[in-house]
Amino acid sequence: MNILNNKKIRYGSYSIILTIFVIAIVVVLNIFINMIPYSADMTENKKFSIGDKTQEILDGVEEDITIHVLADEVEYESSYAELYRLMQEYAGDSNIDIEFTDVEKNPGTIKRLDPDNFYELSSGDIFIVSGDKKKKLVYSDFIDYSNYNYQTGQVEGNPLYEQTLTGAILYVSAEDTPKIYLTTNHGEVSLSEIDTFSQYIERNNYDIEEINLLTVEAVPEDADMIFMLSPAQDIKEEERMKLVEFLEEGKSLMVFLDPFQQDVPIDEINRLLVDYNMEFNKDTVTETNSDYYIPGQPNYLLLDAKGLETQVFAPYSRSIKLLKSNIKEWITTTEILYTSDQAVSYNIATEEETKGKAIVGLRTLNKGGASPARVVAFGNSTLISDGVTSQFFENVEFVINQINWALGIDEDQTYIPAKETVSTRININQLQATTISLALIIIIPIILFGIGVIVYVRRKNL
Amino acid sequence: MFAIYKRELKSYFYSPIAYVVIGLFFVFTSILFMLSNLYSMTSDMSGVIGTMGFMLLFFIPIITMKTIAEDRKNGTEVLLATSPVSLTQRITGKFLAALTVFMSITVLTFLYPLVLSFFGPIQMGMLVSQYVGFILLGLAFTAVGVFASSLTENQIIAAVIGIVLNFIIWLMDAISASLGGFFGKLLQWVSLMSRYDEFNLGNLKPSNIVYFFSFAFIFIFLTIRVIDRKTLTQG
Repeated sequence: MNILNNKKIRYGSYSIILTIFVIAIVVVLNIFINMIPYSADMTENKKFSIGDKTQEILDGVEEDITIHVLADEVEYESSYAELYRLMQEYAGDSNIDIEFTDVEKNPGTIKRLDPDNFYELSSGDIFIVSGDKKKKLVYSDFIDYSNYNYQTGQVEGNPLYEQTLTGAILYVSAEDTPKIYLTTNHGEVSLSEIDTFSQYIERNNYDIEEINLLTVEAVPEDADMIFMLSPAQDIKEEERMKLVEFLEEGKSLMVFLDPFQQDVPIDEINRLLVDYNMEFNKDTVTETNSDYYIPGQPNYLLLDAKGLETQVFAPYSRSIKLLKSNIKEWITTTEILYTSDQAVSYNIATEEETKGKAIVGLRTLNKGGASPARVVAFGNSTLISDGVTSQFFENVEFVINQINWALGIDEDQTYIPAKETVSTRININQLQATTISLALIIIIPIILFGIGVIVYVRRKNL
Repeated sequence: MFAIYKRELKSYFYSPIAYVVIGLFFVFTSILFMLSNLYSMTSDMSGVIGTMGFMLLFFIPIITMKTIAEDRKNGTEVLLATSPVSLTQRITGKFLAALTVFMSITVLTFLYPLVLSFFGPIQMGMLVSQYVGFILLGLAFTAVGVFASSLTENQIIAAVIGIVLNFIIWLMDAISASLGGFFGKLLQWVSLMSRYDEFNLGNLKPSNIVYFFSFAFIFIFLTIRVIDRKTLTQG
């Protein structure tokens, strides 16, 4: 009996040791395999992968950047699975670290990161830090609320995780953050009417603010660019002089001017632009070439754009004249948006029609001043309105490229395209759906159960 | 081993149980498919495949309940211990037979994306990822079910143990999220469901594939240990 017991004890001990040993080997193997960062993003729009543009930007970042996520890592992964996984792609870059901290268990963290409580950090926030530059992100920053569907009560389309994260990284790693001022007081289009576009500007590392040029002595020193977004009336002479002074410092101007229904004076605006070989015409442009307008709507122009393979949609545009009277070697003017040769421009002042190619976008580099100044003019502002950009996203890409050019940055350097929304809609009618459902829910199971019954009966009779 | 596999497979498909289990599973998933895809007019199968994974919690233990328990009940386990087929081969053969029944269910559900493909585009990459996850989950649950069957001679109790173990595995992920901290992370690392979610989201990681196979391997190993110990005790 003792021998038997000893045998059992010996075998029992051997079995336990062997089991622990095998489990340990499997655990160690899995720990090593887990260190391999490779994963295959099988989604159609690669939503867990960073795009080429972001990778290019990250490759150019030399500073060390820490992304502080003020939440427990396990909870955050559970709540924001997609964002969490995309962040791991950023963490793969050697300059970028991600730190998760549960601020409820570590209350001193917020004080350490933001001693003056300037950013008012709280649990769930993301705080990106590089040296002295910091940027706070809250979850709503990732959502494009211009796609809010009032019927469903939901925001449609993909969240802008990559754009927002990359924009924030650009912001903290950039030496300067370009500042754009939007003029007001002339009936301009407001920021709220170009919500999608202005969000993209901010995500791509620009600050944007409004300014009334009549209430300031000069354009603020921190301004890098002035945006004039479809004024409904002309600017004043004193405003023009401030803009002339601003441009002579080597800054930038972008003017969008929609066609007017009546002959409204735009003399001051055109006086400002004459040094840049441009003049807005008082006309509206229609197309007769069917490849250049929306079917049935010859005013809804599809324009060829410099640097873009697709066309830009610009409903109701005016043309811009390239002035030949001011040709100088230090002034370079380029056509950037134009119609076909079969366009017709109707001048509301002279009531005359001009046939031929119409220019809707022009840009000029003027090196004649102390520093080079850049001006971009568009004969249309609706091309960046929310209603248009929701359908024609290439418009956003195109205008941001022009902003980059105007600020002296590589044209397509900072534009990060949105993840494509994958359509999962199928075209099936009620009858088809019902027929297929009947087949799947009733017919196939009946066949299976029937086989089961036959098998049972045959076995019983054996 | 192949002889054991064939014998086990015959015992499944020469009895009504396999057809009843497959048929019932297919009825439930087809109802879900009808509501989530056909009447909602979408080809996104994330919801259906996710729920199919949850249903495996119950269905696989029913498939595996007889694998070891039946032999023990019939007294054939001792006889088999003296056969030239090793214990490892015997258990592996039984495991593979149960897995084949599970795979028959899986193959039948391929009808769903096939149907959808006639009415619109399907996201092939996502589907591949989701089905890989589903099959690996089935592999893991089958190993757990075989282990549960080795613990008792009563098939019903074996099924219940299997369901309970699967439930614990399923809940580990939720517990890890509420625990947080180091233990939360540890539990999440061990959890099958957090890895299954990766597949369902369309993120295919080799480390997760290796983990599922490791998980199944450990439970098959434990099954062999349990039977070996019981055989020794009885001998």
